[in-house]
Amino acid sequence: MGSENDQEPGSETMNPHLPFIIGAYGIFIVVLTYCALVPVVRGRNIRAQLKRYHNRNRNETQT
Amino acid sequence: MTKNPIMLFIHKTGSPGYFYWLSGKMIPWLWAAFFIFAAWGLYQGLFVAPTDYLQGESYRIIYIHVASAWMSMMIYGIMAVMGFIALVWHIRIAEILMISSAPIGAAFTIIALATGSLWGKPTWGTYWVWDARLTSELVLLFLYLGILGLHAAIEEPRKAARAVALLAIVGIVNLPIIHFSVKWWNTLHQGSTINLAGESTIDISMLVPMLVMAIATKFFYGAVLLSRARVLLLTQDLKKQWAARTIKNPGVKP
Amino acid sequence: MNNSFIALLRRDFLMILRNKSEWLQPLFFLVVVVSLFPLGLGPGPTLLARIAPGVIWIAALLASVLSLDQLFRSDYEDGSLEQLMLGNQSLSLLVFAKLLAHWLTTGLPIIALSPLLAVWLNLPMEAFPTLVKSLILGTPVLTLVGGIGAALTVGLRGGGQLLALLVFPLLVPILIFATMGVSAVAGGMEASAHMGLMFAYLIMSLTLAPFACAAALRISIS
Repeated sequence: MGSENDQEPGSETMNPHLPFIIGAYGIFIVVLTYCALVPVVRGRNIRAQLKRYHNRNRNETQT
Repeated sequence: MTKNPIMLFIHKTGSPGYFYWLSGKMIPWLWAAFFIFAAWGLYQGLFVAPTDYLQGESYRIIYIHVASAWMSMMIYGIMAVMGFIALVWHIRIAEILMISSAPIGAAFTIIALATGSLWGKPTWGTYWVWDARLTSELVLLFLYLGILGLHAAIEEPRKAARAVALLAIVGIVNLPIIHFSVKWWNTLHQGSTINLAGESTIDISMLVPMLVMAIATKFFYGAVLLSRARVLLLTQDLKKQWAARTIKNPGVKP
Repeated sequence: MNNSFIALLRRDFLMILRNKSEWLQPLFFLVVVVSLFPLGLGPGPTLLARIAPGVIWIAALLASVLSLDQLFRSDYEDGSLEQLMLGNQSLSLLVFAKLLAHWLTTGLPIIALSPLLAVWLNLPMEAFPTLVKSLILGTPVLTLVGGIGAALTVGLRGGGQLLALLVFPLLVPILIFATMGVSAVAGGMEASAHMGLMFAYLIMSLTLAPFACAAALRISIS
């Protein structure tokens, strides 16, 4: 069975398993990147919201 | 009050401002460690390790499949521990860490299932096979979905966290039984001898990248967990003093 | 303490009995679902015999879990649940009374109906006792573990479906043990290991579930 996987020297054919490997690693990267980016995006939003809230409060209490 | 430095440290991390600052300091290091280990592991796994005699190139998927499967189970365990701490000692940071872990655990479970499926097709001919590991992962995914669903359904955040904590504890008690029952079910129903996990002994050159990737994913989990925890804390404590201070003076130790 | 247990048990039992639809509906559901399988898969006796244990058990699981949503809901809505919790009786014991009432009105009828369903699905006669035994050992677990889910979701809008999502993964082991046991006996083998495991799981649920259920109620109604 192993001999089927050996490519002839000089052959240009793509390894038939390549789409699966790329697919698997692709899913790995995409899902984890999404997972890591969610807090970044939310963090930016919440920090902006926080600034607005506390600036507003500071301005109101300073009058 | 205790003078033991460890207890003191644990007490301090209970305070939101300190936790926010400390985790902010830790995150860059965790990311750095992740990238180093991942680069090393992927290089070893994809380029250095030899082609498998039986499976060809597709076996290389195990480097991310196994790491993801391990993470999916480890995170559930951590959630159960955090849940226990939260229920027994009412420590809010434990609740926050537990809730922040759930989506990451679910993500790893999905990756484990998808990569397992993509590994199965070239190796065994089908995209899905009801073997013990994949079926257990699927049930684990359902457990995660239950936790995410329950948390989303309860409006008050601390009540939601306590409910999830109980569910996580009930789940972890059942998890070994589920694994065992699925394994038994699989061995007795099997017509074929398909076993996605493989009983073959693994060559050391293939084992090392697998372990390195496993370590890398732990650092990923740490980095993303703390990021999510910080955002969650900020969201819940929008109106509090410590949040205002953090925004005014970012990076300053409270 | 025993008096209030018996009182609550009687009250819940009678309440469910008097509201005919509450205990008849799960049974109708069970019967209809089981009959869908021959309709959907064709009446071939060999196929039906092979799927019989799984079909009966899955239908029993669905019928039991779907009726659990009501377990705490009506008491929650009229405030009597809070009253129960405020009293000085052990909440776990009172919860156990409600769970027992549920099993008596849902689990027992399922057990009683099972021979009929087994005949419909052409299950070999020698497997009947094992089927009934598996249901006797398993339906209480459906109520006990399902009760935890019902307590966690009481008062939530997502209600029944969320309850099912929470509870099904936890019930995978008894589904596997029960169906494998009945299939084994139908195939001429023994099921003592399966029944033993189910018994162990039942004991574990009996000891732990009422406490978990009470804790869940305290969280939900806080």
